[in-house]
Amino acid sequence: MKTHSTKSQLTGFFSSVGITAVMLCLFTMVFFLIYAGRSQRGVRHLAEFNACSDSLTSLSHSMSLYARRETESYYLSACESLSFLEKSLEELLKDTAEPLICRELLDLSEMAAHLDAASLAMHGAVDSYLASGKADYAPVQNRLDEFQTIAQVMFIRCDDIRNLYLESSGSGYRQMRRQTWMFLLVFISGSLLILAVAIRHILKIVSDITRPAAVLTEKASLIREGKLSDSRALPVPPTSNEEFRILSQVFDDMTGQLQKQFETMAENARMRRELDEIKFKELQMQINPHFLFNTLNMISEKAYFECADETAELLRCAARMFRYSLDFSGKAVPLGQEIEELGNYVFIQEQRFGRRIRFQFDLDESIHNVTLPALTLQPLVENAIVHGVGMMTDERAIRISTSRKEEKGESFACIVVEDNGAGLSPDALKRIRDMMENYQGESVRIGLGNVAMRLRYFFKGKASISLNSREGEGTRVALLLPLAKEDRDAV
Amino acid sequence: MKRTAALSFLLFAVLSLLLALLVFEPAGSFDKTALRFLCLMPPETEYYWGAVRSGIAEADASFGTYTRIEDYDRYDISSRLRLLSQTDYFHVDGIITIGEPSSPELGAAIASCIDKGIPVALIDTDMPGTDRSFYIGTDNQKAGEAAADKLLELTGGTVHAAVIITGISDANQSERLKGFRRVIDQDPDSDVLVVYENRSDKAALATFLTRTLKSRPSLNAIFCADASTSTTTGVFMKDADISRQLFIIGFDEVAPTPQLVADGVLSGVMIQQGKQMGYEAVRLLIDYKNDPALEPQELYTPAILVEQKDAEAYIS
Repeated sequence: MKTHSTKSQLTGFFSSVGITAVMLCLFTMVFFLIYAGRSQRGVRHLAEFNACSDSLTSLSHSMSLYARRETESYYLSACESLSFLEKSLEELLKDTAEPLICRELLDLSEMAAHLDAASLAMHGAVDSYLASGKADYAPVQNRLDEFQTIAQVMFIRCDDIRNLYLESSGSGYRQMRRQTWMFLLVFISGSLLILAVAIRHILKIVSDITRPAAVLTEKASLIREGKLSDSRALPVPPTSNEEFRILSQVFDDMTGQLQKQFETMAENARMRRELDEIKFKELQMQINPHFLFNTLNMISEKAYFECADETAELLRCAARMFRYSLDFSGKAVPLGQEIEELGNYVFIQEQRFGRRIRFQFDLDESIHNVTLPALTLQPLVENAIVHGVGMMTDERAIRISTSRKEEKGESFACIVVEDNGAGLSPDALKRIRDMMENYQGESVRIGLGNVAMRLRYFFKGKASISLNSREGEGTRVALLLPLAKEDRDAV
Repeated sequence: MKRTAALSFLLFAVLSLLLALLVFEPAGSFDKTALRFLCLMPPETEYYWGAVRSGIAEADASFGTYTRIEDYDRYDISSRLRLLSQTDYFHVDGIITIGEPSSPELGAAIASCIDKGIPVALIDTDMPGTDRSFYIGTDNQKAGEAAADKLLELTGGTVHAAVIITGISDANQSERLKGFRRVIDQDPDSDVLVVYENRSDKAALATFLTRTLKSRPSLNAIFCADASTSTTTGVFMKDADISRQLFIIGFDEVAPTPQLVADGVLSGVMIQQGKQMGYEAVRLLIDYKNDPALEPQELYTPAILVEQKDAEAYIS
């Protein structure tokens, strides 16, 4: 959806309404100016024509007086009126568009020309009459009659033209009234249309603001109640208001971050709780360990004095093993030290199983500086003995190897403990894998789960442990521990 | 902003168009060289004369001529003579008027106009023996014959008719009567029982009809030879209680005659083609003006018999 800022929406709205209003005003002005012009033209024509009619009356009157009194000034006055009449008719003819009126005006102009000729003849007759010493008036009277006949016809035609003008004005007026109503209809329709569009526009602007505002308020309420997921799930309705679109996006992002932080805090709290439980369990397990250690040392010395060297060595290894367990439990040790301490356990087991179990070491000492939780490898070797090769009567082997491994651009220390013992059935393998994955320290008997959990916490999820096995063929446990920068560089 | 500009432009265009439509005034143009005719005829009180005027107006619009129509009292010849004499003072290219056979003064005035080079057209009524340029009007004898033929058809071949006319001196009605008689007289079983000259007296006509219907039991047909007698007879018959089968043919399309035909009171009405007369008069005047050597001539327009099935179209 295309979005606009509130400012641009309001600017668009007010400019549209403003421009429309200006145009309607212009439209109205132009309409009325045109109509005013037309009305004035009609009135002017009628006034001019009335003036023509008046001049015809004056002309007829002057000529009658001239015939009776033979005074030149009356004749000149008549000529002046006639000249005015002819000019006015000519002007009207030029300015009139109505064909029927034009036809009448043309007839009238022609009659005015006849009138002009008749007036000249009249003047001649009067001159002759005066020259003859007023002997015979009859020619003057005849000319006057002819003049008045034409004037009379012109009067009648003038009436006709006046009627035509009035009729034309009437029809013009009716047409104007019709057009004015049409104009009003258009104006009102246009105004209503604009009003409707304006209301729709303003409602949209308001809706674009109020609807997301209401939803954001509801979201804020949910956050206050701690329902962050519900708040995020509540959709903000699509809006063309840019500010609210950004605001709702930011709001959702902030809620997401807050939710993530809350989750992290909860996870940390859970991990602390689990560590506390582990520590407690460890303490529970360390009941009188020093008493045991001292006792073993004492027995070892006794065996040595009795020349039972082998037993003395076994006890010494066991004592060292206990000490390591006691001193470094829950601490981080270098891989080298872990493998060295593992040697005590291996020695004891070699003495126990003799040739039945052969321990093989394949070590890359360049990575032995990597630190890991103490007693990580011992449970793995113990598992290999107990569940793998311990039950076998023929000769078996347990192989412990360390190597460097590159994976996805990262360097890892790879520690593998593998045996060729009994192996695991697919069901057992799956069950153990599940336990490794979901182990939360509830049972210390699960050595692999314990190792996996400790590595997870120690390496913050960056280490991994994998278990592979085939029934009757053996089991392989591999640890991948991330190398610190200095370990990576040490070759 | 682009949208606003586009909308503004659209609005401007729409308003301009509306303004143009509202204030548009077709510009009239007057051609000073166009032919100017003068028509003298009775006022437009009858439909027939209105039709003639509309024909003239249509011809003016078609041929670009200007015909000035002057009203006159049909029975006042002097007013017409005065109007004709005015043609001395303004330009006239042709005259249309109605003939008056009984007026030699009108004949002289027409001759004077012809002498001045102004062609004169007579419509509706001719003036045989005058110098008029041409006559155009209904063939009244044929109209009378058509009415008689229709009555023969309606009565099954035996017509005992009454003919009602306004005045026997009216040349047109006289012609119609002549045509009617000619057809009836040819049929040995038919006859014209009576010719009644009404002289526009409605009361007298009602009396005549009442008396004739009583005294002449064989009467089965009436022919009204003009508009006035047709409407009066039709209105009378509508209200009269007549037991016998009576067929009436009227004349001219004057209200309420078409309605009476539609109602079945009148069997039919002869309608003259006034509009065609007016149109043709102007058209022929142009020919005569352009070619003064054209010989005088008579042109006849048909009178159409309108019966009940077609009457609706003539009811205005």
